[in-house]
Amino acid sequence: MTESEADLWYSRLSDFARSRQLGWVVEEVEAEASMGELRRSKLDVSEAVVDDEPAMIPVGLAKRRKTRATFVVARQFTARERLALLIKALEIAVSQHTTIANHVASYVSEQLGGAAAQFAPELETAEGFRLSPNETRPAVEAGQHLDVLLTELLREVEDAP
Amino acid sequence: MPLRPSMLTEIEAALGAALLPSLTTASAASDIYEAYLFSIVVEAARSEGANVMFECVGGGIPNPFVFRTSPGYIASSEHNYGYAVLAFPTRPPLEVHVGIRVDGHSHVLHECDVCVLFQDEAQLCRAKAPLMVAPRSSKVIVAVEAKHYTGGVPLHLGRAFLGLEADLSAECVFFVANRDAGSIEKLLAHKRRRWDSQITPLQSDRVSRLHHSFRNAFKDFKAKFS
Repeated sequence: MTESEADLWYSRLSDFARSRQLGWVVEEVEAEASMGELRRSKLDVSEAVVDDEPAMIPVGLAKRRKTRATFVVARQFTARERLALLIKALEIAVSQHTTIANHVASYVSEQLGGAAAQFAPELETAEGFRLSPNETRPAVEAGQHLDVLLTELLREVEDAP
Repeated sequence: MPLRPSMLTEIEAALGAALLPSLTTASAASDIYEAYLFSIVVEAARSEGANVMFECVGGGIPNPFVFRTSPGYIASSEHNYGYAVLAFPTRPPLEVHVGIRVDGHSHVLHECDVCVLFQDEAQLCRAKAPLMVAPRSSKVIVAVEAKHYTGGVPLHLGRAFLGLEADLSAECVFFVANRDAGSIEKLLAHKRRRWDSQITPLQSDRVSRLHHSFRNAFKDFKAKFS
């Protein structure tokens, strides 16, 4: 996959995610991408050598010592790496999330004789929602199929020369 | 191998089928994640010998079991919020709540995503209703800060956790995330704080490790109150 193909895939996948109310996932990916990839790197540094009479030496003529020091360096992600971040985020937001939701729905149902899990805010203006295993189980199966597809796509992105 | 031309359509179809209607905001994902960690805490207590019962603010057995989706007061009766009661033989009973505010050292109220506290403190707060009394953090045994992120977990959450922990007198305060949290893991390991990451039902080894960490917290509680 070339960089321009990766850009195109990113654009189409993020547009689709936004159309399915997953704009928050795209926002989290873009926040992560804007930070860049952080790593520690040894760089050459040139430090002024402190003299007994520093004020006597004209600026630019002070003795300098070359050393190496460790810095945290941010590198901008490539288009392919940014696409990989989006694919992994969608996997977490959809496949992983449905597994967690199914766990919660099944746990509550098992512990309380078939009761549903309800999520309710204290504020009357905000909306809540319910989860039951009948709803979450089919989503988990669909999520597993999605996982296979996203893994295939991710492999294509990461294996590209 | 080139991608199939139909790949994007297949992904869109699978994504549509897997998407739960409730998952339209980051906060809904976080709410469900808190409920998931609640279940791990409760099961850790059961493994450590607690008898577990589920109750709700209005009394009786909850049906449905209502979780808070925004930080609230333990005595709130806006909804019939549920909680778990943990009864360790010969020890004071405990309660497990999701998303309640607790009173820190500084008397600032903090949200505990999952909170294990003495039942007498919880009952005292409920008895004062309609006054909304926040439990004292010195009565909290375990507090869990839950973080559900699809992208990188921002470092400021680690710094905020250090501040939260410093202002709580709780015995054990945990930072738990659903995915890797590189910089935060480094920060919290360096500061010798309790943390775990990639905690999801798909990572049974990691869940088991966290389960044991919670068990240790209950083991210490049992020893102190034996």
